[in-house]
Amino acid sequence: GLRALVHLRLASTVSGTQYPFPQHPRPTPHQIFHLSYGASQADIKSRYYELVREHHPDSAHAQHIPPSERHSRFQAITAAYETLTGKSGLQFGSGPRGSPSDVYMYEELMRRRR
Amino acid sequence: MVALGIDLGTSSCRVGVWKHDHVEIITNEHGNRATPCYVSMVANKCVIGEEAKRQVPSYPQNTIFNAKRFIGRKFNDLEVQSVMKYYPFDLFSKDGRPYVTIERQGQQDFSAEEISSVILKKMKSLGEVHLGVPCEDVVITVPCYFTDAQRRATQNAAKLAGLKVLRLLNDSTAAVIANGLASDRDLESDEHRILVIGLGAGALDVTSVQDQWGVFEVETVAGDCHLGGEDFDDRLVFHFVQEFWSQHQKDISLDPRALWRLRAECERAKCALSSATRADIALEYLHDGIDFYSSITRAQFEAICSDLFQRILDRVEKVLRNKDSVAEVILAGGSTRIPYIQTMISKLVCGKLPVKNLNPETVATGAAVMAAVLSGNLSPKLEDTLALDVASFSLGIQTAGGVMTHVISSSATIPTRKSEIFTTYADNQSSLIFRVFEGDNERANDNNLLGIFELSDIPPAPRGVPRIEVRFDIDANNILDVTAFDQNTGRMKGVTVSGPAQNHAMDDSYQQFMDEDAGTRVKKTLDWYTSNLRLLITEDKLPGTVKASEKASLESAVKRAEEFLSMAEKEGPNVERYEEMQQMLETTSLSILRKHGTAPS
Repeated sequence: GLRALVHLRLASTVSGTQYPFPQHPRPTPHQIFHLSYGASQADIKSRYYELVREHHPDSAHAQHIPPSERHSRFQAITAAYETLTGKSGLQFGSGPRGSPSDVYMYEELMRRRR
Repeated sequence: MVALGIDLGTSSCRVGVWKHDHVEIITNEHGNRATPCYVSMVANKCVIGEEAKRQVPSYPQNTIFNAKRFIGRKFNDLEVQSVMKYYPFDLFSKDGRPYVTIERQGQQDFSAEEISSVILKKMKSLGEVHLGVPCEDVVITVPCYFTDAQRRATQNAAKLAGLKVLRLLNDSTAAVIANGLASDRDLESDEHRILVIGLGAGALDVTSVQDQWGVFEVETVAGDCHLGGEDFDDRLVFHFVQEFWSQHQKDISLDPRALWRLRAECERAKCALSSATRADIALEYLHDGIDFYSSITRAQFEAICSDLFQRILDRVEKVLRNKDSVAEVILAGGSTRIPYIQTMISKLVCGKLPVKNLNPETVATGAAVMAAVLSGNLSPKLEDTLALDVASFSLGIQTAGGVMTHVISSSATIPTRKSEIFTTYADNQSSLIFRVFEGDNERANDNNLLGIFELSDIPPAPRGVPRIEVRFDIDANNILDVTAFDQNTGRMKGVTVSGPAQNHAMDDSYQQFMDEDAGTRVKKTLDWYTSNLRLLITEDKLPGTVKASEKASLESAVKRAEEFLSMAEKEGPNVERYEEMQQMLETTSLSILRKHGTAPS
């Protein structure tokens, strides 16, 4: 019963997806999720899986989109999900995370190259 | 276009295809659904599978098996070194990688990739004969814990076999897909957690997967890609080599043919012990005309392998402890048939959960399903087959004090892309050297070094000012690509972090550097850094915006380091304390200099 129901729903969305990816550049997480600001965590979670089914690069519904676009859309969806669920610790415009490796190695490698 | 699913195991290989709305596992010319991963080359003839396996006693040094254990590894890896003495064929090092050498006409040296490609080519032709059309597209399964290098090597093997890899699929993900397709899933359910334990001939995978809203979402993976049935065989072989020695004072480990026959007999005994409590070993004329008769009990076998079994259970327990509400446990792979392992897993889940044994074709079935999905098969049966996989390891860059700074954390959903900004540690520094690691340890050197690359031609600037963005891209195959670019100039450097064509010159000088005494290295680093900062303060070269309080905290940090250096001189080297000090100093100075360096003047 349920399976048939889901198929019916998916079949109806093959051509025009239920939650299309926003066309304009830099959509907000809420725009990507087609949810208002008051949405609950439960809403966000279930919508995430609906978006995954529609937009995952492997999904049959996404096969008409070029691969690179599929990937960046999916990455935008996971990033938005992280933001909406508070899992993302990254702030925009944050400073450098330090410098790689160590000074002596750098000096030594430079010297050896000369 | 039809695509095949291949389960390329350590000891055997299976190929399946989605046909008439279900998966068919394709049989080989002997009617077997699994083909042994054996390649035998004698004179100018190459045979694969059963025939090759049969040839081992006659040509022990010309028949290669278990190539998967060497693929993508370095010759000096402990995993290669520890098992090579039990194999009848010869391994040697070429460019630091393990190669086998075979005495025959024509090509004599083969890499593990080349051996695997011969097997894959065989699978390709089995598929083509079965379907009657050419097949190029495949999904190949790999252990979750396969490293970047092992994944790349597997892809390369497929390429050599004339195949196009649609996906490298994790074994346990394949098992979950196949299991899900065969059972009645509740597509509207939230949170149905499945624990998959895969233990085959070569590797252990422990994966927790959520089946929710019709999507399989992998949460965490744990495992060991060198722990499986072959290790139990190794233990048994060792046990009987010793027994033979104590009975006859003769070492059969130097006799390749005897070693092989013993190995085959041990494998048979191991399988027998899954149902019987005692197994006999009978080998006539094993060595020097001596017949060898012995036996082993299940209890003895469990004792011989007890530390290996414990390692398996530790991994499982670790995943179980962090995951409550596991609804189902599924076991995949031949070695999960060992009664002791089954009993212990039931015990771990307190006998409450259903523990389901999957048939040995599950992984190939999952691969074939995924192959159908990725090649655009629109069968309604496949509509709910979507798996969200995760990065198997954390990936990052070594920063101050030897710390691993994560750019992507393990269990991040893939494909993914993440960036971090890094900067210079010296004034007017013109290039940065990045060391990319995979692994979950805090100290970079405890992880696996994937590669080293350099971004050069950074315009002169005070330390901490340049903003170098490093971007990590992980594709759906769990393969990493790294690019670095200077945000100010836009100069970019793309790097392939592993594979045979890596930056050898850089590697060599790096290796020389690492070979030097670690104590000297950390001391020189801290010395250099401290004196530079001291110079900056005394010559008043700090940016004008630096507040007096900030200058004071910088001053005190430098002073602490100077005192530490003079104290440490007397006390002798302690690498960790040097690194701690280095980290403290860098954190303090960078936080201040960054703030002022990047602020508009």
